[in-house]
Amino acid sequence: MTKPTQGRISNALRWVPALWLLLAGISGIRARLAEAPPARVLSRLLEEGAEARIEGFLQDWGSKAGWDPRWEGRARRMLLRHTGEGARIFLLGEDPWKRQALLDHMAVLLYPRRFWPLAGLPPDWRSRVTAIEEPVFFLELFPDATVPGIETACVKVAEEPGLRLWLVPRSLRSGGGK
Amino acid sequence: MTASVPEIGLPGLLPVLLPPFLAGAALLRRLGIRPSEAPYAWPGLAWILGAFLAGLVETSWLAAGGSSRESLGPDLVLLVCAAGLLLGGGPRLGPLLPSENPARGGRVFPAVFLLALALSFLFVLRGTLTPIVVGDEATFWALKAKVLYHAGGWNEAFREEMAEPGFVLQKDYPFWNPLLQLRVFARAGGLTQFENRIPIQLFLPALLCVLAEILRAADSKVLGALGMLAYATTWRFAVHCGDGGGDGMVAAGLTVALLGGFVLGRGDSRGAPLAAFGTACALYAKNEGMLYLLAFAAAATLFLVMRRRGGRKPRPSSLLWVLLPAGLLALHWGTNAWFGFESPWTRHGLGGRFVRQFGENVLPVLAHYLGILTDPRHAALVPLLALLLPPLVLRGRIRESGAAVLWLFLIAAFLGQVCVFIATPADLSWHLETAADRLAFHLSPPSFALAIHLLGARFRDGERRPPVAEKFPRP
Repeated sequence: MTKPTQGRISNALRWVPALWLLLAGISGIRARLAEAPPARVLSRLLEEGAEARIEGFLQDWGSKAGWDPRWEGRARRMLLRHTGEGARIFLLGEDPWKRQALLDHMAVLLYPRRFWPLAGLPPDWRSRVTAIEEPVFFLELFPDATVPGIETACVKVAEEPGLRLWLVPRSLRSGGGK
Repeated sequence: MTASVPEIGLPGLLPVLLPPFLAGAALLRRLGIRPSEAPYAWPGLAWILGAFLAGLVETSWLAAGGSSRESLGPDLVLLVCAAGLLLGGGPRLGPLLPSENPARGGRVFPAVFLLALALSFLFVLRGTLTPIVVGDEATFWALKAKVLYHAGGWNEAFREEMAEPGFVLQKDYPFWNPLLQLRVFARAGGLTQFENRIPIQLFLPALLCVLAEILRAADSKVLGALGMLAYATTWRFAVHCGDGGGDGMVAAGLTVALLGGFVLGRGDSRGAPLAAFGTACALYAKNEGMLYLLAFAAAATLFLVMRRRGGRKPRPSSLLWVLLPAGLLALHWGTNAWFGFESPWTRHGLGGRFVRQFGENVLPVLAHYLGILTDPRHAALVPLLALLLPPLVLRGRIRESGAAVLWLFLIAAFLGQVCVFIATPADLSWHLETAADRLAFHLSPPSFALAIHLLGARFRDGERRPPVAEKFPRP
């Protein structure tokens, strides 16, 4: 003879795997969404064996919001941690105002590291960077600003020996927030 | 590959701040100014004059081939200078600006002064929370100090780095500010991002101390106290307390010169060295110092021409103090010529550009300045009051009153600023938006001093009301 409560407990327990699956599904969808543009580029870089070249990973806040000092602070700390004083860093990004602003800020804060702003990778980027004896770093700004061909170019940069790539992918876009 | 950011914090700054302060205190003693003789101004004067001496010692150190990364050597030289000044002793000459009406407002003034000073230190602390990253404090001043530290001295590396176009801006600005920041880098053993601003920020509380001494001498101490509180709570003052640029230093230098002028006006010989050091500080702080020197020369000449009877003749020994700002100017021009630094204002002919742009720029610049003068946030409308009050209050006696020199100086200095903007090589609206407020801030302390003294004489705390012109003895 079973007690009435036993039936209720076993009924409730049946829901546990269902809830688990539901939650897992939600987290999977969330992860998939989170992977959207940034992780896509990163996965591709990893697949192509470029992980040795990737020394930093910064999360862009999206291009709709104004200037974000916290993002800049993270970029600064990362560059400070991973680059020597003689580093040469290219800033890639389409928006000239943001590029110049970051250039000014970084040039002051991370002196004597030197920065050059570029709207995108120029065709002659290989000859440019090989002319520089010190390690060369690329800090890509705001890929969501649709710099043409930036994704492919990033992979190429990452494969190049002696170069280091800082990838700054866009985050989940929801009104320009983080 | 990992690089660390040196942080020395506030306690670590003491060895950077103390030697200049001691040297300033020793210089004041030599000039006959003891703490009891200028109770409000003394700490401020000690910092401003001490920092000035520190700048000269650093300059000599670098010019002699010393390393810019060395902190002990310049400090020892500074302390030896201080000891030398102390050995000479100093005369006892009594209070610097004796109060003529000590009866009323006696307790109000010190209480309000302490409140205003505490506020200024709060503004300073708030300013230290962010790294030096944007604006003039970064691209003009901190970067120049960083380049100098990294190069190791005034050598070829420094020359090459500074020659790079578009990197360090306004290279022709004087070295005083970067040299004070350099002292912090040298002590920290690396490039700091926050602490190097503090020696510059301290010029604002120091300015407040000196201004308090001037305002305390007003006939109405209540008005003096109110004026000081109004000054310390203006938006611009709060901004400059958090800034590592040269504008607070210019204003501090002008305030010291102003105090010297007030002391000289009372026939005290200590006024001449104070005026000379203040002028030299303004010249050593920023190129605008030259504009104010010209404005003062124009004002003094006009006053001498328009006054009716002969005034008191200055002592020849007082005139010798003119050599200090003149020597400083020669040092500044000499350093710029040595490194080949040129002002963007003079590079393509200042006069020609002024004439060419006059018609187009004069009205927008005047309108912008009118906006600043009538904006209560800027300096509580006091500069406007200082420009309008003298002819209304002094009337016919204006030709005989020393206040006229200050009034004419303010007019000439404001007009000089207007002329600079008319001849700007940059985009006018951008330049006005980013710089006019800061330049007008330089003239706030003299404006407050003039307005409060005129009003104080009119609304005296006591019962007797002397003629206002008597408040400003003729120089």
